[in-house]
Amino acid sequence: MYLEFSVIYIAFLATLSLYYGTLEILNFFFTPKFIFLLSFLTLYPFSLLREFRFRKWAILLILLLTGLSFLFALHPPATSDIMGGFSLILSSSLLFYSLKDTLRELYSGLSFYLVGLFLLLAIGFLQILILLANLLDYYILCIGENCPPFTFIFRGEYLLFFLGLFALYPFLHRWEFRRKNP
Amino acid sequence: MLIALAGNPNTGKSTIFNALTGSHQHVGNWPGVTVEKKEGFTEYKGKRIKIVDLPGTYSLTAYSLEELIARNFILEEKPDVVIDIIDSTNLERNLYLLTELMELTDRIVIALNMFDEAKKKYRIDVEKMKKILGIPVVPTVAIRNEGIDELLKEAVEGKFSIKKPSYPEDVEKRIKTLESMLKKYKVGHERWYAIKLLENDGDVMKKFQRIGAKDIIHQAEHFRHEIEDVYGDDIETVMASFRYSFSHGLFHEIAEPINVGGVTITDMVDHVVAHKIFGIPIFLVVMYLAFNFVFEVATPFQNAIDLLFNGKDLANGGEINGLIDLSYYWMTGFMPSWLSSFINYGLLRGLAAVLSFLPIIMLLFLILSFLEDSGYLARVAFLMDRIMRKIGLEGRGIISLMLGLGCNVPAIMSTRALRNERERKLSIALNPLIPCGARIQVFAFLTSLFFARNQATVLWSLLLISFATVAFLGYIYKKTIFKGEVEPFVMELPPYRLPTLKGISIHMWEKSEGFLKKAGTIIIGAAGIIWLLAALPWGVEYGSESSYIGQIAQFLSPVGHLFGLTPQAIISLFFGFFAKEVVIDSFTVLFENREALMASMTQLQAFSFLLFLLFYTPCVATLATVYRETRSKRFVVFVILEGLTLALLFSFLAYQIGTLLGVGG
Amino acid sequence: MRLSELQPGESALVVRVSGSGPIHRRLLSMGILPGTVIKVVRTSPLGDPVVYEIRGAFISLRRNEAEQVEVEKIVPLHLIPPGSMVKVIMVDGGMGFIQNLHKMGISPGRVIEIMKGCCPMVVRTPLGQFTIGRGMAYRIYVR
Repeated sequence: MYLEFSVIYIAFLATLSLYYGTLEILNFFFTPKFIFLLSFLTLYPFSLLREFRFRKWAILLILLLTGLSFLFALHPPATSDIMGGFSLILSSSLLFYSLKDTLRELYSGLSFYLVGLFLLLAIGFLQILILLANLLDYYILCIGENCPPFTFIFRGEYLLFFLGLFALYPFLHRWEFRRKNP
Repeated sequence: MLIALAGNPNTGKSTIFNALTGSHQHVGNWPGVTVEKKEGFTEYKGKRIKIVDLPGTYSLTAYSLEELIARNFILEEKPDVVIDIIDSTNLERNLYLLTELMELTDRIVIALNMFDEAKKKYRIDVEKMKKILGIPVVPTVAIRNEGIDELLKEAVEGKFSIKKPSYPEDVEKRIKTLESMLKKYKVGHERWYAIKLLENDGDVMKKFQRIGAKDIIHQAEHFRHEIEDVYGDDIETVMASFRYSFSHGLFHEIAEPINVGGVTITDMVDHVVAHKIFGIPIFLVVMYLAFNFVFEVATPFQNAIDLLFNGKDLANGGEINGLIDLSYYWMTGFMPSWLSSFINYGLLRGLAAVLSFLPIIMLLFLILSFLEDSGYLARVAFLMDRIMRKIGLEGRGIISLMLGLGCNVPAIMSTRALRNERERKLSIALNPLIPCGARIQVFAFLTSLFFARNQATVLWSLLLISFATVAFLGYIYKKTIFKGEVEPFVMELPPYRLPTLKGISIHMWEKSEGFLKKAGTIIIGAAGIIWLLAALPWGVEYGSESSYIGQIAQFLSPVGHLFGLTPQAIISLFFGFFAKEVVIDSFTVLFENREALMASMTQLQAFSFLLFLLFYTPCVATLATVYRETRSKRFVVFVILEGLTLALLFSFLAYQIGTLLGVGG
Repeated sequence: MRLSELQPGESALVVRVSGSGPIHRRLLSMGILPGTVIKVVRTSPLGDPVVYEIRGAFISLRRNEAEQVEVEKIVPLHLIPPGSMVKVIMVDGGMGFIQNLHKMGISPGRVIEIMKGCCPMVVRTPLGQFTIGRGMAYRIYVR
């Protein structure tokens, strides 16, 4: 059961990363309009659903997560950062690639999942650190002055970091794989 | 008492060295070479012990500097004990060096390091190992400080009754013959010399040729050909095979594999990280994360230091006095104001500049140590090797080039990781051409003023020009000045390890300390000199056109005209010699406001100024680091000329061609 | 054939290490000697360098370095499907292990037949039919 639900959650996470990633790159050039439709990628596990055992719960979860990603997509952040977007897209592609192999129960699926998730967490953690550093900087620069209050700009990476922490759970439970490629 | 530490690279040797010596250590160089030498002291039951960390080597041939240093130390300094530090997860290969060490000295203590990880792979019979070899064997887990005390105890009090490896009978016979012939030369270590003569060891041959021992040389050659005929291979392969069969046999006697054919985490991660398609993009992202971390997290600390030393002018008209201002007021109390000014606004400013570099340098080294200790850098070297070879470097060279984007100082210091001396020098020659963060800041400032709408394009074009030049020059240098033998790449990919906080902090401190001491003093000195040039003759406005700097600039201005450089631009370039960020400051001194600055240059002049800035001599800190790493004044001059030539060339071409085409007027 | 000609996943036995000088010596020091088993793990994006598994460690070599190593292709026993007849080329282990296998009739030069695939495997040798565990099958190399 963990396997199926983890797969669904990873698809969700990967879709969201892809969404924020492409947004960050495109925002550099123009404001894209219909990109929230990307959130339908969360439905990807649907295409492989015949292998799922807990069909009803799985379908429910997928629909729930798709709805969630749609919600997130309707309020796009405005950050534009080409390299940041690229790194998110890379993580998401690693995660999608891991799904492909995981569903065939190959060890390489776990490898891509590990690295993809680790990268995502690193990206999110970095942005949070930068936020803290900017906060500290703000206070230092504003000593003795009347500065306008600190502007907090929401970045997709913050959300992805916390969502990603949840994705660590299956790893802690150590998936059992049949070894097809030792 | 003298103890030497030997072992393969990546075995945790330096961790054990640090654990034994703590803060009582000194890092220098082996005489005459740029290989790092670490010495330290420790105490055992009141006895003072000197510990020397030998360079990590896979064997003791005469083919590399590190190996020669290691074996000559044992031959000449005759340490009381040699501790061989073995990576227990990699026993068989580590035991090869042990066999070579056993031919060189009788008193060896073995440290089976990383024993905790090895226990997951093998069941190791330590007692059996002691019995077979006749020397003390101590399991250690250096990063957790386990086994270190016992290691020291065995080194001082242990019993040594070594059972040396022996070669097949016919080989042994010949070795013994040579040994007896050697006795009359009174060189000691007869067996080792006999074996090395048989192997045609370059360094040993030279030594015996010098003392005119022709009979032994001929006899050894004769025996060598006989052995090669019997075994059907060249002597090096034959002897190495014998040693490896000893270590292979020993390995199988003492270790029983527990988990064969399993997939390790290292392998799993490598599958992705060294992947044909994903490998390089992952590397780019890691670099991006690293740089972003360094610059963004360093900024508040830099601003804090700047505020502390230089104070601030408040928006409402008031001001906060920094330490420098306060010190100035205090000092004018008892010395002439010009002296106080020199000390504070000259020298002390320099110190403040050094300290404000420090957060960036420390964080860069922190990240670098993390990547190195975790084992990731070896994968980077693996991925980038093919590309790097085209410009004359090995895979690892990309790291120092990329670090240059942060700051050239740690970048040049990181070239020590390159094994080949020739490649190191090539890398150091190329590095100053990579624009460091400070230069990029100046570019950002100027392009926002002069190229408002096209700022990004101009910035990227500057970066691309510098990368293309580095690649092109690397290619040329490889074929001309830095031509030479290629070093074997044969590189081990160590298993991934999570670096300890203590470990990377120690590495970070070691390297940052070096920067502070050497580069620091030179920067402060340069700051003083620039202050003098800018403040004299007496009474002029600081840095204005009537100061010495200004006069020099006016003098050079007809020449500058050819390159599109205004006198103010030349003045700021002088300041930039000290530190690139100061270029911005100097403009604020020379012009009242931005509009005046924008009016002083056309776009074309600005562009050629930017090109000049891109290449010309790196800041004093970088030059100081170059000197420190190469110990050659000639090299520093080379770097200066290289920069100036390229700067003049590019800005000349840009300005003249631009004027001809009538653009950017 | 040369080491540089092998593909990822293939194993081989070193026959000769040619060349001279620092590269030759370094190859030897790393344990690349006649009689050593090398396995190709993966190649870098541009085909050069390549990661090999040698004596339990991962070493990467450039193509021009791998070209100096002459090898003979071999396969670990656990990859052989049932029904095949193979010749034993090499056994990787200590004296005890080699002797145990020798008693079963598995030694370099002998031909054995695979009755059941990994794992555990069942093989038939001139001395009879024997069961081989996974750990052992990994360390027997055949062609």
